[in-house]
Amino acid sequence: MEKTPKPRLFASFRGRLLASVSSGIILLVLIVSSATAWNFYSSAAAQLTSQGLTVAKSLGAQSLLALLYESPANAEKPLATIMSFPEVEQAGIIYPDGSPLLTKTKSAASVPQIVPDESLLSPSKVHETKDRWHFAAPVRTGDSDDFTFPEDAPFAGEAEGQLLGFAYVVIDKGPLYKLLLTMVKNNALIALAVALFLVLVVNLIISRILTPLDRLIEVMRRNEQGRRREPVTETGPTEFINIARVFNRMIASLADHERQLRDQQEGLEKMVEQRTRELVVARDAALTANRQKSNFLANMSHELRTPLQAIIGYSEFVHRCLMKKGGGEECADLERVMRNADLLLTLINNILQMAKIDAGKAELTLQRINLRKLLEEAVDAMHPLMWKNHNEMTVIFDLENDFINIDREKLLQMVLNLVSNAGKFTQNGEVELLVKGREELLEVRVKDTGIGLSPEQQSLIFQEFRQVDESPERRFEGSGLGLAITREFARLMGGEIAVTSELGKGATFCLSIPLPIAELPDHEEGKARIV
Amino acid sequence: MKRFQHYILKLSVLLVLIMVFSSAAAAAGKTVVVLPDTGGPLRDIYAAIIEGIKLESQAAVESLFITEDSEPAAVIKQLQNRRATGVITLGTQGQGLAEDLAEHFPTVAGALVAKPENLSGVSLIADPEALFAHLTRLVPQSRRVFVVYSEAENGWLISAARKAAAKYGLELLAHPAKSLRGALREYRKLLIQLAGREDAVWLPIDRNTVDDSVILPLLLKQAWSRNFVLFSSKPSHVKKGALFTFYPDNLGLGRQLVNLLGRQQSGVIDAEFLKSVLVAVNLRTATHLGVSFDAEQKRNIFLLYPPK
Repeated sequence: MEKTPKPRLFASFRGRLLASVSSGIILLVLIVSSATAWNFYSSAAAQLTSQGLTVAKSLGAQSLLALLYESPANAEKPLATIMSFPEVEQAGIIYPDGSPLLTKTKSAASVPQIVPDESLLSPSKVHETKDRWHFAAPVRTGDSDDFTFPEDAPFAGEAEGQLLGFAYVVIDKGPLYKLLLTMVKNNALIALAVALFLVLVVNLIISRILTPLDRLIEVMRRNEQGRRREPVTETGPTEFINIARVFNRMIASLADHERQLRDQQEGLEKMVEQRTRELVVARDAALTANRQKSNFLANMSHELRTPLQAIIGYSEFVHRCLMKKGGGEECADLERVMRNADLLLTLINNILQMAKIDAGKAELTLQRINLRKLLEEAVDAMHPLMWKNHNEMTVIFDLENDFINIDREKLLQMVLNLVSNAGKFTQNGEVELLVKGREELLEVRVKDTGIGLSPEQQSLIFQEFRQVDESPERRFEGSGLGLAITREFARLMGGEIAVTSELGKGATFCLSIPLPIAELPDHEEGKARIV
Repeated sequence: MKRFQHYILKLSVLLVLIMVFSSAAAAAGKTVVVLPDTGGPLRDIYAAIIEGIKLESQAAVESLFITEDSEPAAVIKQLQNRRATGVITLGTQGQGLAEDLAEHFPTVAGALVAKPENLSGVSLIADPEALFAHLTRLVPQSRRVFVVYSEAENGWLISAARKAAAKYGLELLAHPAKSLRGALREYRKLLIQLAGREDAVWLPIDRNTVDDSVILPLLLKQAWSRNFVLFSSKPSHVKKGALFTFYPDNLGLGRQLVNLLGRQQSGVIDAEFLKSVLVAVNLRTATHLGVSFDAEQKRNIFLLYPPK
């Protein structure tokens, strides 16, 4: 069963879209909040700075009398007024050298003052620390001369008055920081609330936007499960409509292809059915014909063999009578008759064998035999042929055990077929019979120095009724069934026969039969049964 | 024929007259007023001065505006191009150029706060003679005039004032001070001496000794309580409570400058106070002091405060 992958966070389109938009909203809200706080801080700082300058200027204007009289008593009232401002932490009236005429402070310890430059012409911020602003306003004679009236304009000069001292004011930034902190907290809370609300709204919007996509996915899933080819409704944003449109076209195309495939499949099935019916009919006809052929051959062979054996029997009887009377020319003619009758009988027997094989009636009769004796019997039978063609025959038996379980008649026929072929196609040469008997394999190798076989001939010699020389003027007799029968017998025993040869250089036939011979099941059609 | 001869005669007389006036104008030359290109109340004041110059001068009058960056050489070249025969500078900027211009043209400086050095010019400071003339006319009981001044700014004024005071039978008690603190000490001393309308305190335009936030309130309070006369050279002081003060008569200043330029062309270098002034009176203070004005006196008053 396919394992469902664990869903990753923000893996879905909705999740990613929501995450992206939410991140943007939160970032935007935080930026706006921070910018607002910073803007507020800047404005408040500028306002406090302006206020500090105004306070310093005001104190400077009120400090003239105190500095003129060098009287701290005169400074008490203006300083008390200035100190009533909540942001003013410290205020003082000082001489140009920095020594105080009078200083008042709200802190436990007085804030160190910066001695302003004597060239200071107007109220200025003379120092700033993390916690405080320091302002100073010069107090000069003539500064309070009022030339703002239009009628005084021509008398306004440029000369500076004498510097009497400075009005010094220290503004505490603490309240500003507290206010800023409060504002930042409030802003953050409001921003988060707004962001949360916006995220919820965006989530709703995204859900509404993605509804057609979800519907599309559901339809795709149903289509994937193959229940039916179902088109999707083309609604929603343009992109989704395009996807749905393409999907619908694909579904329509797919349905069309499936319909064509179905039609083709039905056509093919009908055709196969028809062909199968025709083949069955043909096969049955062929089987019937083959069976009839085999029956015909078997019947014919039987019918031919019976009178032929009678001919041979009576010929032998006449031959024996003639021999008793002294033989003569008639005896030699009769011998020719007997030899040709034997050949004819062999041919009929071979045809009968092939007919049995073709009809699937060939049977193995396994029995424990003395292999060595069987081979010697075969060699003895072949000596006349060897002598006739002036061949020298070499026999090598390499047997681990003389006794094996095998079909004696078929093995004997196979060995005789191979050795007789070698003797027949070799003149004044050598024929070697090598038999290796092992526990798991019986190998019979027949090697000759005869006329040999071309590659084309090698592919033909195991077919029925095929001979190397099929011309009307052929030199060698034979029915063309020996090697075909030998191969069929070998296969019947689970073995095989192979040939290696070169034209004019002889041939080597190798028969291999694995041991023990397998007992084939009775029902296997076309194969021999073990008896 | 007679009629034709009559026309010829008329035309000849007209041509002669034109030639006479043209030659007179050419002989009078061209006066160029060099003034800063400024706005606000000064522009109106300078316009009035130029109007006075035009009224008094027989020469053609042109204006040449300068800026803070104007180079003397460039201004001189422009004046030469205009064929100026006399130059009148106005304001502090004009005074800065006047010394250079004086080497090439007859030059006088006007609308000055301080006394011009080595230069002919007219200050905006009212002539002490006019000052004391108005004082004795408005408050005939006046006998002593107290003034605290700094030698640097108003030494020349006080020396002229001494002569003027003597001329009008007044005793001028002038106390020099170098700083506002010193002036304050002097005022504290002299306030002890002040008593009634026979005594008057004069506030000159002096940055070292007069202060609108300290000295003026102090003197106004004392004047109110002790009934002495407080008058000032600064025009706006009358709005704040001084009995009277002076406004420059800008048309008169223009005329005075033209006359001075004429004398300067004759080789005389002189620095003058403003002779033509307008008086402004605070009626509330006058009422408090028991000063009354007849019709003739009221005609000579330029402004009355508080306005009705």
